[in-house]
Amino acid sequence: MSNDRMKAARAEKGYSQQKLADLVGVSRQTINTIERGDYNPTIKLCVAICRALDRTLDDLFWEE
Amino acid sequence: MDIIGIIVVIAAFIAVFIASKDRSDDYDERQVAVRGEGYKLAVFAMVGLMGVGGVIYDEPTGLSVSAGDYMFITLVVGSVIFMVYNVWHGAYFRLHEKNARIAGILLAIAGTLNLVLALQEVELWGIAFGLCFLTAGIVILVRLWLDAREAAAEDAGESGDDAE
Repeated sequence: MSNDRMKAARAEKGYSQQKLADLVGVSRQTINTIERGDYNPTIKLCVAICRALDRTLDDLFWEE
Repeated sequence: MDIIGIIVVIAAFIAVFIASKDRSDDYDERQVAVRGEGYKLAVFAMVGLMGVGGVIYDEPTGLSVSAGDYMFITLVVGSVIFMVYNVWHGAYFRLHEKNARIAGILLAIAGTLNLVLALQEVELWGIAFGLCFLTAGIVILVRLWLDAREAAAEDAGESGDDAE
């Protein structure tokens, strides 16, 4: 299941996938696979993404 | 001299193994997982080929490839599988690697040259190296092209959304 909330939050911040990847310390492909729902990140990576996008874990990663 | 050669090879493997340890920061968590999967596939392929080799060399098949050459082919196949799988899933090169394109071009050129020279003399090791390098070079360049196209499409899509 794709993570559209993360994609929307990233777009709101005006970040490209590469920019977010650089902020979080992962590759662009990793950000892409998370947004596509092809990879489930660890809690550590989820927290790093939330911090970069100024969102909470519930905002981006809790199942609706 | 053979003993010295064996010692040198073993020492080189140990040196590479030590140099490659504790570099967890070079790959992100997804890349580490993908590389693990790549290692698994390569090992399974090599074990399978070794099994086939065990049958082939146990029965009189008239195979003209020596057992040593067959082992070498097994190693090359395993290396190619590992390399191609990791390149395709974006886990071969380290984070912030700037020389991926150059590596792809050089591998493709080296592979082509190896292949052309080896085919002229039908030299097995040269053919194997040539195919290995050429395959790696092509896969790297194709992957980089697809990644650039994907990134451009992603940026264009976001620009389009903003314009709306």
